Amino acid sequence: MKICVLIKQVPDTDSVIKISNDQKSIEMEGITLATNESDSYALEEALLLKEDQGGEVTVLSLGGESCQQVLKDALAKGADKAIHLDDDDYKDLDILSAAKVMVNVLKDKEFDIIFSGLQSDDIGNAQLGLIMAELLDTSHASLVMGTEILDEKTIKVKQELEGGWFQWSELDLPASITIQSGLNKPRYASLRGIMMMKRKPLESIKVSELNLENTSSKSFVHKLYIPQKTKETVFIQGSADQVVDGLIEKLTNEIKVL
Amino acid sequence: MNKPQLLPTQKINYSNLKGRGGKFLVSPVDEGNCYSRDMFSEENKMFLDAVKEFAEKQILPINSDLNVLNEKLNRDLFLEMGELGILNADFPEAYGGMSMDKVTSIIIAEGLMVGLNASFMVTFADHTGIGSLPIVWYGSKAQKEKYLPKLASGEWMASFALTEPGAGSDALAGSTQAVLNEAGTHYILNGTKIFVTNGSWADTCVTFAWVDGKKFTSFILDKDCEGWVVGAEEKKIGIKGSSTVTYFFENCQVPVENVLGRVGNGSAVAFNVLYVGRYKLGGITMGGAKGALELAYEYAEDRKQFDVPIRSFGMIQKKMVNLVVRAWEADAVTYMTAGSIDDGLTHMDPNDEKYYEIVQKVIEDHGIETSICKIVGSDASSANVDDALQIFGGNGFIEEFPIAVMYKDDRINRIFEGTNEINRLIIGGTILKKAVLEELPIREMISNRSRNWIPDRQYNEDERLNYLAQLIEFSRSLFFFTLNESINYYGQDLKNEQWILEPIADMLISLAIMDSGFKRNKNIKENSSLKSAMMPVIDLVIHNRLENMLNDGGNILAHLDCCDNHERKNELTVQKQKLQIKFSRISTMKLIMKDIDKNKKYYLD
Amino acid sequence: MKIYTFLQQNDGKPNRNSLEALAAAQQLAEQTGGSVSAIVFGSNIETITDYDLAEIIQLQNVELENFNPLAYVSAFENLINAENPDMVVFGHTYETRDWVPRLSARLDIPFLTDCIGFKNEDEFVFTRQINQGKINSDVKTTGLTIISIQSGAFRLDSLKSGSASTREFTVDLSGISQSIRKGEKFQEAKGSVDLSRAEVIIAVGRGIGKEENMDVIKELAKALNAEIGSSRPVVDYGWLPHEHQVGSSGQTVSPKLYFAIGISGAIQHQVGMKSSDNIIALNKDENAPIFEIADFGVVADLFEIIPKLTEKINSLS
Repeated sequence: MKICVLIKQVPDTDSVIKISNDQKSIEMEGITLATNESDSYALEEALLLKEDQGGEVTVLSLGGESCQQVLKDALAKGADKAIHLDDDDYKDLDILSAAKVMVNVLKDKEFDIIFSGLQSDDIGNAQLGLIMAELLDTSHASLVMGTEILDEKTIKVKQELEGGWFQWSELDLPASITIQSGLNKPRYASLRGIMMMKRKPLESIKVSELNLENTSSKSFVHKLYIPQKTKETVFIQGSADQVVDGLIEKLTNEIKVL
Repeated sequence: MNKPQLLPTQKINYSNLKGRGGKFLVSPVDEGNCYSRDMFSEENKMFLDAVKEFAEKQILPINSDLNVLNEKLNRDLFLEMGELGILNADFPEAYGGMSMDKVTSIIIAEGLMVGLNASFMVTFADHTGIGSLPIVWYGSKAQKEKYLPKLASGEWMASFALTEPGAGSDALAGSTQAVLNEAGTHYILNGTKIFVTNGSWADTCVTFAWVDGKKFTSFILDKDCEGWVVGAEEKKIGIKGSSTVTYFFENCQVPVENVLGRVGNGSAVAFNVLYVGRYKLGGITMGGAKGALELAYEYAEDRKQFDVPIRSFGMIQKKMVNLVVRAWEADAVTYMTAGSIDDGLTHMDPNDEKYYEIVQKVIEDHGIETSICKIVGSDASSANVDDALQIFGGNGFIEEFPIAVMYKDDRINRIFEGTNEINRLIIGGTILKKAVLEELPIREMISNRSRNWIPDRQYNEDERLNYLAQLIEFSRSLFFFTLNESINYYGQDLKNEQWILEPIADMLISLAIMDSGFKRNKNIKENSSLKSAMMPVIDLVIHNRLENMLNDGGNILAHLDCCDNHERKNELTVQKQKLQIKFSRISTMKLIMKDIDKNKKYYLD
Repeated sequence: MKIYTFLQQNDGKPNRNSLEALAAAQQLAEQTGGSVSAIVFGSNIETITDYDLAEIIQLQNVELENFNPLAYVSAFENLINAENPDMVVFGHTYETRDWVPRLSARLDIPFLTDCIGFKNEDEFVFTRQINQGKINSDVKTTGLTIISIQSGAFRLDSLKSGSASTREFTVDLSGISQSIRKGEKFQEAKGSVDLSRAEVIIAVGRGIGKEENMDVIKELAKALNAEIGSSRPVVDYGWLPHEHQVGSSGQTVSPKLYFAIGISGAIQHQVGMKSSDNIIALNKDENAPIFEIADFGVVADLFEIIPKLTEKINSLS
């Protein structure tokens, strides 16, 4: 089984995020970077599948030089090969263009499964896996909470739906599958894995050296800003019925859990 | 003798000192390098991150469950850590380990302390250190094959039983006897061992007994040994989740093939492994000092009184800065020590037959450093949990807050692995031994520094760093002057003069901190924000420690003067006048606080 | 501007998030002087004829009867290619996440997911939340664009009613790939407590009074699909097992909503929950420290409010 996992390096979720002076990007100085959370689960699912079925896991990340770290972490955890698509000289790709850049590298590699996290913790497009499926002409499933190989040509996946519902689907391979956090327990890098990491291939390819025909972005960041939030406690007052209505309104429109 | 005699200047070959114990003492700040965390390899950093993540996710959440005796939880963690190589980094590769260097073992100690559980750390350190190392070092091939793979994987847990009711710090005063049975197949052990860590849970035990009443010998016990009786759990002030019991050997039958090393060689086994325990405990307590700091800082930020976070109050800030400084000092000496031991082993192949013999020699050679790690780490941890608890106020006295448990757990650190007093004796004794045997160019240094306490040279291009370097070199000279005068006065008897040995050890500790802290700065990238942010810390540490040096040195010299009516202390006064001290403690501490607030970092990663 | 919006149907009713997307589309049309057409798969359209729409475009095909991502993509591809709308608006539902990105790739057009609004300042932009809501990002696009609207970002009561004509659009999906085969939907029995992963935590404190009162909390938790957390006294009294405890000697959590009921909010509790996205506190004591960190506060007797709230929530769904 040839498996590819798409991994993104994102600011650690505890990071204090500041906006750069150009108001179009995040200030990266002082930010701790980490593997996107759902990507860690995607990697673990790939490693489990490899242990069960045999095969090889390749990890791929698009980003600046720093994102080699998440690839190295993946190699230390058991991935076999890593590909770094270095966009230092070709920034600001929108998600569709980024996917096209990745397809450039992946199209001849004949992966049986491409795993990715369901969405990134920074930009949160929640699109990559499906775009890859379309561009590589594979089947797909999003928000996957479980996988099971049925035979050489078929994988069964458990998808999460709204309101606590799930659905099993069968997919023909090759397939592109986006993974929801929590379906497995991502492993820690072992000391042995870390020592082995240097001996595994990590290929770095400059995006500018790829075929970039038809990859220009069609969406652009216009402006970033901190959303206004008043931390003053808003007291909901009145009769019991008024309070209940007030709470329902907050739960629906502000907190959005209804 | 009114004035010290002027001795000829002597050349010292510093390159020969790489990997030698005591190197820091005789190397001026512009000679040679000193290992620090800034020299971590990529693998080191990744491993520290992995261990921290493990501790944060696997230990921290069950912290309170680990604070009561729970064998299963400890064993489960052992098995997981065995898988990850955290439990067995030190073990030989041939027996399920990773044969890793000493820096890695400190990284593990530091990383695991993120779990803030002292009980578990004691269980862990006892198992990987004194419980297993004697077998690694002295075990026969058969013994290694039988015990090490299971100890490395975490399937078995190890213990070490040396202390007896009548033999604590004086370890050889024990009375446990071993007699060979008539068939010559078993030694029959009789005696009592107390304070045995991991005692109730252990599958193996390295212990000691007198064969024929005169040959101190080490044995490996396992569960097949009849007559190994485990007593009740001690009720301790702290580390309540760590098992501590008495072992009774009641005609305990130990097969002859379980003699560890040679009959009569037990004292080497007992003492050599203790050095390792010391620098590892240094790493653990350094991690604990950082943990207390993190807790205190978070609390000081959250806790509001008079409508502002208590962090904004000067007296709290002063404590915060002291918390940082202590952790920083422990960090510097611990990694300096581990790095230097690794340097001493650079050219050794772990698969070499003589490897562990050399390892012991190198570690023993670092006897001063390993004791310094233990003292500095445990003192830092102890002062930090105390200050942190004070920042927590009344809440700190309530056990629901982890700092309260840490406070009680910490107390043992200044006692076990050799009390801090015994460790000061070791420092004093070792420096005298190294001087007499000329293992270090101590004579040369005494000679060279007798003329001029601050050699006239440029130590650093930066004016402030050059000034700080001069303070360190002055302190170094003061140490050698004081040591020389003490040796001249007491001669051989100095090794029994604890009133003097203690301040001598303290001077060495101060010097180690000043030297390693300053040299660490050299390892940091020029123009990095860390380098500039750390400047006031170095400034403060060096001035603090200079004060200690002047105090300790002054006390010794004044006492000697008092004994024989000479005027040694005058020399100190004269030399001290050459220092032009430019320092404001309060301003420097305020500067450090400002930077901590800004970066939320403590110069420690 | 010609705006198409997709009305996802679940159990014969338009999905709530889709209707919010329709509200967004109406507002877009209003600002740009355009028209809104609603796209519906299947025969069931009675429930949507009362909205202010240019028309309802109905696609009826056996492949569209149940959710089938590849058929959905092809159907929309056909429709868009034939009719050239300027913008297509979806709700950001779990279902659309499973097919619309593929549509965007097939048509090679930009797709902005999970938008919370739009505005026309110097340029027309859509607003998305990035970095987990810490930052807002205004994004502009070129050409035909797909957007999806975050659940709750537009209010249903802003939907404009009116009337709409219906038109059928025929698609041929006979050759559609069957490489994705959806099975039955199912629900799972809830496993053990995992507060760290919970989106919503209903936390209960000493104010609940006695163990028998816990049902009030359990029912609210059920209605909100929430986990139950607690302060320490509740665990100490044995009303809940320790795994529910939040705070310095329990778990540290940061859910989307932390609803603290009858919890005074001692600092040892606060350290475990203060980083929650939203905190609602209900307490009898208006000076309870929990209100210092709450976003929304109610000073009341919990027994007067909570049962009514539960009832109301249940009646909504």
